[in-house]
Amino acid sequence: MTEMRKEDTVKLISAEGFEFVINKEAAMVSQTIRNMLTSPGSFAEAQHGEVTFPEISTTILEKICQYFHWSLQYASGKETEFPIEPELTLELMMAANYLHT
Amino acid sequence: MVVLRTRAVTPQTLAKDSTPSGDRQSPAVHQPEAPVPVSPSSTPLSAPRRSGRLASRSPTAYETPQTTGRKRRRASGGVGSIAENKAIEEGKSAAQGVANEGNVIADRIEPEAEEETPQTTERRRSASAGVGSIAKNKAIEEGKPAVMGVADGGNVIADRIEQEAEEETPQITGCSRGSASAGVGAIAENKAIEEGNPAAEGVADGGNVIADRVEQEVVEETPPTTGRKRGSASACVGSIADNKATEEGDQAVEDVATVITERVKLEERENDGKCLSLDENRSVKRIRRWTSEEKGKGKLGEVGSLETAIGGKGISIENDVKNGELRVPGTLIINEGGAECEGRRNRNQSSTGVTGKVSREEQERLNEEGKELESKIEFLKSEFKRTMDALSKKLESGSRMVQFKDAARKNAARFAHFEAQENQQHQEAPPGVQAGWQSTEGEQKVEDWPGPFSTAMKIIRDRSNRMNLQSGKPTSDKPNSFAINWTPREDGGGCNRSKKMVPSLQQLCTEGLAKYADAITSLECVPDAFRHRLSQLLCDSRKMNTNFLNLIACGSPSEIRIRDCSWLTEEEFTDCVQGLDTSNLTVLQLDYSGRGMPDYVLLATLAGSPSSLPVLNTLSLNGAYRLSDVGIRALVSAAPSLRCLNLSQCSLVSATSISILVDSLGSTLQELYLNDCQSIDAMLMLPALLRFEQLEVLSVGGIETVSDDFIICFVSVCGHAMKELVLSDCVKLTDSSLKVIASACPCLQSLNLANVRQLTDSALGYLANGCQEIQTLKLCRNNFSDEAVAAFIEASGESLKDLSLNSVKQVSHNTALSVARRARNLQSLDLSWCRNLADEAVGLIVDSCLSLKVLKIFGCDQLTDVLLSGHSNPVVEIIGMKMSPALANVRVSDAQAFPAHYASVLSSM
Repeated sequence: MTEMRKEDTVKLISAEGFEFVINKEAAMVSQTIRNMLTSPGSFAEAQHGEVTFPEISTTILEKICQYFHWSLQYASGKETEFPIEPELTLELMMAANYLHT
Repeated sequence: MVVLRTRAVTPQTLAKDSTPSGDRQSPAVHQPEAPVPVSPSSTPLSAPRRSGRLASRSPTAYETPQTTGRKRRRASGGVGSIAENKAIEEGKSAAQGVANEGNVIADRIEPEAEEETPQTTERRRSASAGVGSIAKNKAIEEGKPAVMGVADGGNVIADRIEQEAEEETPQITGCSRGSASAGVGAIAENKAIEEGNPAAEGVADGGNVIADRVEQEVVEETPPTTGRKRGSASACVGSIADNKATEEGDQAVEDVATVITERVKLEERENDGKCLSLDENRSVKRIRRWTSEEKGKGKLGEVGSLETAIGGKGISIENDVKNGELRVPGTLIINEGGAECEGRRNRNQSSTGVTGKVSREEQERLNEEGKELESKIEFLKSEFKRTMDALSKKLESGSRMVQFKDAARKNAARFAHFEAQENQQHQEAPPGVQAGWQSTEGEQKVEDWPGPFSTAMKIIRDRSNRMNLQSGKPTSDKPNSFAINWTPREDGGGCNRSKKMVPSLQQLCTEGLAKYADAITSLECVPDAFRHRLSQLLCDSRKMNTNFLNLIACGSPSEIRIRDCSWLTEEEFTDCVQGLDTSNLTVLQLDYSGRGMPDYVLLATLAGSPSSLPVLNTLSLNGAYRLSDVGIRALVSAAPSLRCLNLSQCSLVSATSISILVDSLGSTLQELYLNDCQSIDAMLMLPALLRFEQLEVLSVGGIETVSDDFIICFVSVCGHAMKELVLSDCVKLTDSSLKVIASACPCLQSLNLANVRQLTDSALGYLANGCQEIQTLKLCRNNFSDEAVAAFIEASGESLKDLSLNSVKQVSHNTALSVARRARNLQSLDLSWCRNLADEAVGLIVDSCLSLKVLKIFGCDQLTDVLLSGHSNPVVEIIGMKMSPALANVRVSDAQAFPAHYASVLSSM
């Protein structure tokens, strides 16, 4: 497993406090996160490399991280299905809308 | 008219008939719910038939096979029970009604084609069985129209069956064939002697139609299918043979016989010999049987006559006998008594409605018999020719198919787009010669006016002249060596494109939700935007149903948008709306709800009491074809704060409605959409229109009576506030209207001039000089020159966000340069069918207009991959390249779907 340097990663924190550490590139699939991390002027998030989502639950945030990675995979040519459990779909849609992804 | 007729068949009349009829039906038809043959819910079934054009599709959404089966059975049971109707008087209308039902059934059958399993073929059979049971109708007097009605039914069924040709598996085709023919065959039982004539004619027509369709399916079919088809077609012919009508029998059977054999002959060319000869033999058999009875009485009609009647398929009468196969209609007439029993047996087989496979032995035997007949061919050919004329005349005048074709021809003209040459005629005889004068004068004047347009034109002309001089070509040539500096990127922007193709999580979720829509228990906290998206997706995938409707309607919703309510029946509509809390409802969109929303239902529910929709400001009833002035009156009193009203394609709405609207909403209504409202006469509604005080959007596209006078009058009074004008397909308009629009509508932001073919370059000139704030301009099939368009863009292209130059054929380099230079805010550009634009030109546009999100280039096959991979715009989505995968990911932007983008009150989508 390749080393993940601190500069390459970003921490996403769910409502319950769970922390997901993922690649920056993956996180930037979300336009919202991308804006937070790359806009000029210093967002606290950009400085610490952490983003909190108090209204997104852990299961949903986990699924979102999975989507990020799936999206990168898709863009690089490997086109697979992204399975979504029906019971998550509604919440996931609203979270995805917030994250602009 | 069909609608009316159906209504005439009152439930009472039909309720007299108790049980579903017996023998001739296939098992699928036996159902317990027969006593309600034409329940109120099935009447609406027939209603949409007429307005097939308006309603998007028939309402067979995602029914389970059971539901559909039940529906079918009910419908056909209803049909079947009519058969018992011994009432002689009512027999006529009953049978007509049945024919309509048959039509309806067939209508429904058609769209189900794609989703059907072999199971559903049963349905078709039952439908036809229903038709078949009409045969029991012993009504003698009325036998005639009855049978004609049934023939229509048969026609319709056959019609639908035809359209399913491509999607069907051989299995289904066979069954549908079987049902159609069984239906026709059943008619044969009609013992009516007098009426035998028209009866048989009707049947012949039915046979014609079927055969017609059969023919067209020739190419796609496998031999087994063909065999079955042949069988069915001939079955129907055979059953006609039963028709004891002697005098009239001739012609009818002639017709059918010739039709059948005609088609049979056609098929032979493509098909397996054995199979075909078998079938033909069978058909021969049956005709033989008939001819033994009718021997000497009639002559078979000329094949050619049917050609003329059916539209000239160019079938030759040549006798190609090959390998022992029978070819020519001539074989029909062969009459040897020995074949009688076989004929009968064969007919019975196929008459039971199932065109099953025929056994090997039979095949062989029939083959042999067929060979005998060859010898008679020559003799019969001559017989044909003799009766050709009489028959063709009769067919042409009486044939329902011809009537249908005429109707289709008449209506087709409305949808056809004629070439410019035909338009020249229009221009030569203008309604007001003055108008013509003005435009020619105007043409000179516009360009002489000191204004941005004329300056621009001059510059462009000079530029092209210079170019031509430099390249040494005469001015008439297109300057091909126009110096457009655009070089494609070397590395290819392909990687940019793939990123856009990743489906977004929102999209995936919405699709997932749509899949499990029935499992959603509540949409309580879901914001309106999501609901709309979901609703749209469900409507588009035909999964919309009352479940979801109730989900959206529960609580006190503020917005309900359903793009396609064609599945909604009256009962469902009533149920849903009765429980609806409309106190917070601001937006209501129930498009294509004609089926479930006639005036009386509206009056009983939504518009039941004044102010029952107190805060409603946007109402879209697009395609509510049963909504009339009465309903509008009720609606208007129920929704006093209405600001945006969409009544497009409501064909019963007349100018009176506009008066009603203006009486109550004159001071508040801001947007009015009346596209394609055929009953509205523009000049009649003009006085009412003028009284609207705040009208910002007027859409009268497709109303043919919109003339220059109308526009001039309207715009001079109300133009100052107008933001959007949709004048698509208003073909009578000329430059003078544009002149007035330009001068009187300074705030105009959106203008749709699609298909207004009489406009010339001066129109653009006026527009450029007058309307400086145009953001959306839709041109389609207009005859503007390249320079004029370019000059327009130079003069007022800054504000353009959405430009459509679809089929403005002369658009070329000048325009491209102007767009690239001036229209930097462009977000959506449609250059479909502009074939004079090369890769460089479009590439320049794409690279310069960095806000460009969508570029449509349908029909531009001069553009190549150089453009696709060479442009460096990361955002743009290029749609319409042949075979381009980008087409697969076209996402309709939400903004287009919803009306009322100017009203500040509404939430923007």
